[in-house]
Amino acid sequence: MPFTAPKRSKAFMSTPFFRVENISKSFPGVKALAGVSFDVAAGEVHALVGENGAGKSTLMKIMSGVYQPDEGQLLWEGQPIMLRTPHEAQARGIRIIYQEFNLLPDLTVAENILLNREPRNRWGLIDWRAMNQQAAAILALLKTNISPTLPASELTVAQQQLVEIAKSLAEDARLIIMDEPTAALNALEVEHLFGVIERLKTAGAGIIFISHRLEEVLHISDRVTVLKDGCLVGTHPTSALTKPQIVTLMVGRDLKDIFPAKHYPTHKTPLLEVRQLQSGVLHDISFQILPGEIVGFAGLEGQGQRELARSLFGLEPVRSGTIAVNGTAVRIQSPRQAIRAGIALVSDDRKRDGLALKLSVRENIALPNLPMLTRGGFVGARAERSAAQRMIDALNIRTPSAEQSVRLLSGGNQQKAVLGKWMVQPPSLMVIQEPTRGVDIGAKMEIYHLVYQMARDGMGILIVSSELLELIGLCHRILVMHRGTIAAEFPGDEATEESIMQVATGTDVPLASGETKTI
Amino acid sequence: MAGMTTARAGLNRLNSPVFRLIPRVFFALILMIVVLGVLSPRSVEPSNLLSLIRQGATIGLVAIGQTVVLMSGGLDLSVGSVVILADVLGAQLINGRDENVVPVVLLVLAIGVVIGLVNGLLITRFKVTPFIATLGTNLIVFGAALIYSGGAPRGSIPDSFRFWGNGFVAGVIPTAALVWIGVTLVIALLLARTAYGRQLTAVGSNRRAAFLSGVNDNRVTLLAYVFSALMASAGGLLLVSFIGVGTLEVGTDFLLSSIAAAVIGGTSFEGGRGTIWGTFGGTLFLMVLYSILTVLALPTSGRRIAEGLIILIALALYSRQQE
Amino acid sequence: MTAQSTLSATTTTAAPTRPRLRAFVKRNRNTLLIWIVLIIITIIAALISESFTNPRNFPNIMRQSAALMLVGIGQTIIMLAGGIDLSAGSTVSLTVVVMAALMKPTPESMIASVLAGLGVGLIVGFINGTVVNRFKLAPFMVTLATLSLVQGLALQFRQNPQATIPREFSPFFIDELFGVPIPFLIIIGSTVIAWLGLRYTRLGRHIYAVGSNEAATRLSGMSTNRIKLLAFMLSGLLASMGGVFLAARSRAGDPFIGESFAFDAITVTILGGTSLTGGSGSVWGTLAGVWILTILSNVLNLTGVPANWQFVLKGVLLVAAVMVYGRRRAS
Repeated sequence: MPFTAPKRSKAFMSTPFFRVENISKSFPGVKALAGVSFDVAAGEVHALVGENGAGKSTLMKIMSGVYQPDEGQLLWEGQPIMLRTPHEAQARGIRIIYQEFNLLPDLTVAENILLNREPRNRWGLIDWRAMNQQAAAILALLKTNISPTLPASELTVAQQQLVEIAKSLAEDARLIIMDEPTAALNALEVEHLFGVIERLKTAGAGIIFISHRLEEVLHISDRVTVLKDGCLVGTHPTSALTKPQIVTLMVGRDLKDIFPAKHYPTHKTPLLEVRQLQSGVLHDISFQILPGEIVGFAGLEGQGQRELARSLFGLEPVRSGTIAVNGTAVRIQSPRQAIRAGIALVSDDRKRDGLALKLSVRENIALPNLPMLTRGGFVGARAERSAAQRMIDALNIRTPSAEQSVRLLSGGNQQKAVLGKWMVQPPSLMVIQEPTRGVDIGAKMEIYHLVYQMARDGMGILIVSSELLELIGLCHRILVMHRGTIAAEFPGDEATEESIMQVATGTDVPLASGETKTI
Repeated sequence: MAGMTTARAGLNRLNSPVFRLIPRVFFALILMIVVLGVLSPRSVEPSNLLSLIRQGATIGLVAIGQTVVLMSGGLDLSVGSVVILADVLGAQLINGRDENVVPVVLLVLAIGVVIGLVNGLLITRFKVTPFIATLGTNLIVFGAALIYSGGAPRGSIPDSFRFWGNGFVAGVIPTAALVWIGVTLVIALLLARTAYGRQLTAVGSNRRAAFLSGVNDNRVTLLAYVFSALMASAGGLLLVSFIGVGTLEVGTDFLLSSIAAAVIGGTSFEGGRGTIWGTFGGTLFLMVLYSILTVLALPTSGRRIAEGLIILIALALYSRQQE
Repeated sequence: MTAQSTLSATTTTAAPTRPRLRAFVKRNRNTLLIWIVLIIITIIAALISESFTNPRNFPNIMRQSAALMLVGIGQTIIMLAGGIDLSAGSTVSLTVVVMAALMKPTPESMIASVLAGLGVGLIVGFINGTVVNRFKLAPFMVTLATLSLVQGLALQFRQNPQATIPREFSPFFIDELFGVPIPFLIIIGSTVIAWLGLRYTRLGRHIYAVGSNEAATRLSGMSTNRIKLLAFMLSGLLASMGGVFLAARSRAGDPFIGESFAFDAITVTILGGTSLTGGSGSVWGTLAGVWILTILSNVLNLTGVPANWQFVLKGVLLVAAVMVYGRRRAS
């Protein structure tokens, strides 16, 4: 049975059973955590908040046995312990729901949920019937009717998320770490999830809840711990906090200091004009971007923002509709055509899409510019070196030399190297997905200023981000996507997290307040 | 294990800038030559070393092609059969006549290009994994060589053609050695300096990132396979010119040796890393190793065992050094 | 409202038979496809060659396919785990050579030699798995190296003059039992056991899991190294079992006897629809692959086509199979 966590009285604020003390962790080029302490008690939801790069995911991975801390110790019911592998963490009842999905595509939903704890009959063979029944029982708790016998490869993003959650419920979980569990869920699914969390609490499990959505944090958590730049800002009872207070703690300074003052574009001839675009999940997409304008796209995961960015770069087949750059209609069926049309893409996964990690900073920066740097088939070594150096200087990429392998740079500097690839020959339109994912706060501010500088130089910028504060702080306009189309548009100055989320979740029920509005 | 640690420390010490430009395999090569010299002083006389280079030329050419494919993140299992086909075709079509040499050489090279195109198109256009695509063409080409020769290769080679595999330039330097070194020089230069060379390592290191940077990754891949098959058929021609008759016996050896030479020379099986000079050194290393084994009177079995062990050791050393 | 429609789109509780049959067909498409191909090839073979339908040809085909099937099961297991075993052919050879060197015509000696032969495969598999795990190397490269290494050992251990397997050893493997050819029983028995093992044991499911997504499997708290090691050892063990059968069939301690087996086993596994990247496939598909290959070569023999065409045919089949399966996967 799923909720067989040790029965305890619902003792809120009982003594923490798991504590990490003075944890520090470094990676090449970056200090991810410095002297952080954190604990969780039975029957408690402890929220962990912080911006991208604050150290949340590192802390989480230390608590689940993926990383070892450089300094500090882990205490389990007062005893120092080591968690050397995910397996050791699991043995203590620590479950983690990763943000990036970890399902096994070729296995069924039931197998995924009960992986490594498959029910067996008395001959030690797997009892498929029992397995499917148990999985169905767990899924029923989440009020979803995903079939346990479906291969995981056939699930939608939201269903994958639910199966991930179901995995963590399958066994005596004492501690469940949820990393952005609601990122792909709609309002109703979020409600179901919260129902499950309440029941887990009652059963005595401790829950660490990580979310960008502060309304949810305020709604579900008992305590909030704020991290910033790898350091602990503080732990507070949720009841003592308001949303603006959390934001101030997270950011540590006024928003105005982080984001440059907005300069509205003066040109009124659109640089990019998209009309009636249809492709894959996208339909009826029409919008414009002016030269010098920064336009943000918000929405839940899986609502089409990704596909939109991809189709502008020739990665999604476009069914119908037109894309015009600087007044001329362009056909974009491959990245090469997109680049020729003056469009560049900075993807949300720089290690997969952006950089050839074995190669040097110089070689990476030169890569999209080889046609320009080549004379008669031969690469001009001097031109290449100077282009690379120019980018290293202009974008302040901190690297010992242009010959350094990009693998050894910090996340922020890698991200700047990706921008540098495109800035050798500046494009008309820069499409950026998650501009600051996995980047520390210093680099984050630099990147914001760079983006802002590019816009001032007349480039159009399209940003897709899951960080609403980032969109609100940076963009001139914010378009919200829901179910493959643009559901609303907000001027950057008027957008609030609430107003965006309301459209994004496709509901008129604001989560935090619970009051109902009808349109 | 202890030996490996010492060897690794040795490798690290050679990390200074002066040495970094020289593929590490050359230090191991010098060591091997010393070992050979101790075991059999005659083997390291200049003329004998030169003939070692001559014997390495065929494998060396094939290994250059294999290296380029490995750098692109792929694999070419068909090289052995292509060598055999080129060898059999060469002997049978030239058939001892001088006037046949030029057209047959061109024809055989053209057939190599076609096989490479088939490999490349299967992989890029039809999305067949390199392993399966080249395994399939390997079988087909081998079958073709068997069918064509009827299992018993005929034909012979005129002296004018034997010059390439067996002759000397200026009376001392084996022609085959010159060919090999020349090809190595040219290809190394081209890969280091052309846009294609840069795109090749980028595709091998991260195909997606290269594609998203506007690189025509399919064309880069296709060219790599065409080049590999071309090198394999050139290797086959050099082989027939060296031994004078067609043979069906060399296939697996060439496949294994070409991969071994590349890996020993520092080319990464995962793509994106490799040097043509490293492969040159790797091939010579293998040749010296074979000589040592011959001196020790451990011909076939010892050669197989040693080759397997050397590949494992090279893989382990380079994988350590990566971290 | 919104949630309802997103979720209900994909699944409703299955109504009986019909959709279940459809789901079965959908999930076993590759296997069914290759069995249909096998049936068609068998019919064509029967039509073009009278000798093919001769009752004495059936045990013959079974004798020709049993060793390949055993090695093929091993290859299927390691490929399901996302690996590959190029050393399987050399392992077959070394097993045969070792058995030929040891075996005397006494029951004790026969059993001891078989055990020694099986030990060969376990050891080679152990080495493959350990090196792959420890140095995080590509299975292709590691087993390519051990291919050479083990082949060398087979040459080293071969007796001069070539030792042979005692005549008394063969009947256990190639005779009939209750009128059924033993090779056929070996083939069906090993396939059923492998299928049950892969489907109904944790190790079996975890082999699929590792091949499906190794990183995710590790994060789920499993020792992927242990699973991969066991998969390599199973592959080695089955290669040796193929070697034992071959020893009984050929009775010659030929050090090159297994040379073609690794690539043939890969060919039949791919033909059978197992994915080269791991995670999906079935031993039943491999069985169809084995029989297709054996029947083709049998018919080519019977109809007097030069044996060399087999290579061409194998190559074409291999590439064609991958293209067909690849298409289906993409769509």
